[in-house]
Parts: sequence; C-alpha cells; structure tokens
Amino acid sequence: MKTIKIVVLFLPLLLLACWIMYMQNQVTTGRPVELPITGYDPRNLLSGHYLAYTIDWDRADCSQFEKGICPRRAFSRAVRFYVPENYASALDARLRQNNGRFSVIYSYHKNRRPIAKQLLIDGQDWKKVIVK
Amino acid sequence: MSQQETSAPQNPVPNVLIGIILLGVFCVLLGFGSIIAANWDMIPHYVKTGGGLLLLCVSLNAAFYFESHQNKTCKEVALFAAFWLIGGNIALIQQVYHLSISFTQGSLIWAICATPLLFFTKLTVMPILCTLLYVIGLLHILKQFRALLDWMLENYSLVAAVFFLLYLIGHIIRNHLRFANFLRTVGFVGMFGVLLIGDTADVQIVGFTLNILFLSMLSSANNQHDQPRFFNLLMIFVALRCVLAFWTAYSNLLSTGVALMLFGTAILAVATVIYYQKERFCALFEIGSLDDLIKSVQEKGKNNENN
Repeated sequence: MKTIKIVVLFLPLLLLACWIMYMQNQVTTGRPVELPITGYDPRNLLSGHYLAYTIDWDRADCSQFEKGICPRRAFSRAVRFYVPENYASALDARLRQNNGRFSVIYSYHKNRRPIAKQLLIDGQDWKKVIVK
Repeated sequence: MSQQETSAPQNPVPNVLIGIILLGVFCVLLGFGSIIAANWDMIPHYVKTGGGLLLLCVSLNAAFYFESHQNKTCKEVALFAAFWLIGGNIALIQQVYHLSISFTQGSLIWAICATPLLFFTKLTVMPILCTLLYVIGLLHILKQFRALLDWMLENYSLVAAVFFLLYLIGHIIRNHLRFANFLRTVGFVGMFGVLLIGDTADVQIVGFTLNILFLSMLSSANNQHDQPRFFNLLMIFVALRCVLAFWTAYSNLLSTGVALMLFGTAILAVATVIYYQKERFCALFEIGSLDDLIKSVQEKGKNNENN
C-alpha cells in the first residue's frame, strides 16, 4: 500500500521528467535544418516574450529534407521562439524594420514535432547581432 | 481570571481581513517571482529544468513525510505548493524548448499531471482548481466549434450570468433535489471559468474591476453566512483573476512583477487601515462591531456543535 502511495504521489514528477528527457533527446539526436521565417502578425510580432512567426516556405531550401519535399504540416505547430526580456524590444524593432534575414534552426526527426533550437539573423546567432 | 477568558482571543482578526491580507501577500510574492523570472536568462537550461524538478521533488517528499507523520496542515501546504510547481514546470519546459502550447492546451496538461495529487488532499480547493483546469482544457477541444466559443468569450458576462443563475437555482432547491448539487457545481465552475478567461485576450479595466467586485461581493456574502471554506476558495479565484489580468495587461515580466508588488502593497495598506479603523469601517457598512460579529459567529458555531 505504501509503495502504491509513493508511486501515485510521485507520478507528476515522473511524467514531467519523462517529458524533459524526451524533448532533450529530440534536441540532441535530431537533424538540424534551417528555415527562413517572417513575422506572423506585423502588429504583434512579439507576443509577451516569445516571437510568433510563420515559415517562409517560398524561400525555404527543401533539399534539406527527404526527397526534396518540405514537410510543411510537421512545422505548422512549431512557430514560437522564446526570447529573454532584456533583448525583446531591440529584436522587435529589428523585425519591424525588416532589418536582416531571419531564420530558425530546428532539430528535425521524421514523423515527430520539430523543435526550434536557434534563431539566426543574417546567419549569425540573434544575440550576437542584437548585442552589437 | 477564568480559563474561558484566558483562552478567548484578545484581538481576533475576521476572515474577510485574513483573506485580504493573504491576497496582498500572494500578489507581492508573485510579483517578486516575476521579477526573478525576468532576469534569469543567464542560467543554463539544464539548471532551470533540473531546479524546477528538484523543487517539485522536495514538495512531494514533504507531502509524503507529513502524510506519514499525520501533520495535515503541512501536508496540504506541501501538496498545494506541488500543484503550483507542476504548472510552473510546464511553463518552464514550454519556454526552454520553444513549444507552441496554447493556454487551453497547457491547462489540460497541468490538470492531467496534477490529478494524482487529488488522491491525497482533503481540501476542496485543489479538486475545484483542477476541475477548472480541465474545463479550460476542454476549450482546446471545443476550438473546433470556433464560432460558438468566440461568441461565448465576447459575451462572457452574459454567459457567466447564466452559469450564476444555474448556481442560484441549485442553491435554492438544494434541500429538495439531489440533482441540485450537480447544478450548483456546474454553475460554480462554469461561472468562474468564464470569468477567469473571459477577457484575457483584451483586458479592459472596467471589466476587470467589475469581475473583482463581483467575486469579492460573493466572497463577503458567503463569509457572512459562515462558510469559511467557500470564502477561502472564492478569495483564491479573486487572486487568480488579478494575476491573469496583470499577465495579459503587461507584456513583460519585470513590469508585471512591479505592478503586482504595488497592487499587493496597496491591498495590504487597505487591510491595515481597515484593521486599525475597524469601528469606523463597521459603522460605514452598518454591520455593528467586528467583535460582536465574531462573537455571534462563535456562538453560532457552538450551537451547531451542541445540535
């Protein structure tokens, strides 16, 4: 009875730990793919402290994927990038001015949800560009 | 001096005031947490996620320890902390891995993860909060019926009034039909669900103030009918409503934190003024002396025990 109690009580911890391990595995073992992005809504590019965007499939290099076909559906729900608050306004201004070529590096597994890893501006990590 | 006189509280604080003080403390603490959150991008991801899980582990361990040592109050506090830490961990994972999880989806995940805790709590607060999360989570499924949902959110005051009516009907017929309790629960959860999420997309100060006033009036009304548990629960909803409004009104954590701390301090100041000017406060609302009110409630409690 005591063991069952412990298992049930610690179930939330187990669930969350498994989720984190799954996500970390996805990030480390996935194939990196780079996709260009544009603002989702020009009036609300930075919703809170994350960047809401859409992938610019017209400019995307589909040769990164199998058979050269872009899996648009798989990326339809991976369109958010969290940014530290200190840099949010600078990034927002840059996006509004359309200053630079924005792209996101994803960790991609076939048949799994891709995970955004890095935001790039003109091929450089966004923090380096914004801090400059 | 008799034993009865010595054991009587010298300067008892009424439930309303305790509720207001707790609300203020809650806002100040949350504001403090928000300010820390605004400045923690220097911490590596694995430390953040590890730290979140560690805190949850500590609170669950504490809950188990106090459960086995039959310390009910500490156990409930630890479980309540674990409940909020689960929500915090979900938000953290979402942030660290840049997941596109909506508010309704997040609520559903939170409710599912927190459900095992319900087997251990003896209080009604956590089951009702969890039900509320499930209701909000169900909106994620209801999104398929977009037009109906949009109409409900646009006219949230009307929908809340309908739910309140259901609650009221259930309350009136509670002694005649068993079905009444179900009606009350649906009305209660539905009303607060709608009031909580009704205008989060576009906070208007009038709507927010009306919501808070409405909830506070309900809280105070229930307190007068000697239902401290229900009063405490309603105060939690008031606190949640404040937090949601501030989160949606301010786009960054730092200003949210500062605003919440100021708001909490203002509430504490009001509570202090009420406490020191309680006679004037009573005269203003024509409820007689607070001490008389407390005595009458205590007598009522004694009579109930004797019956």
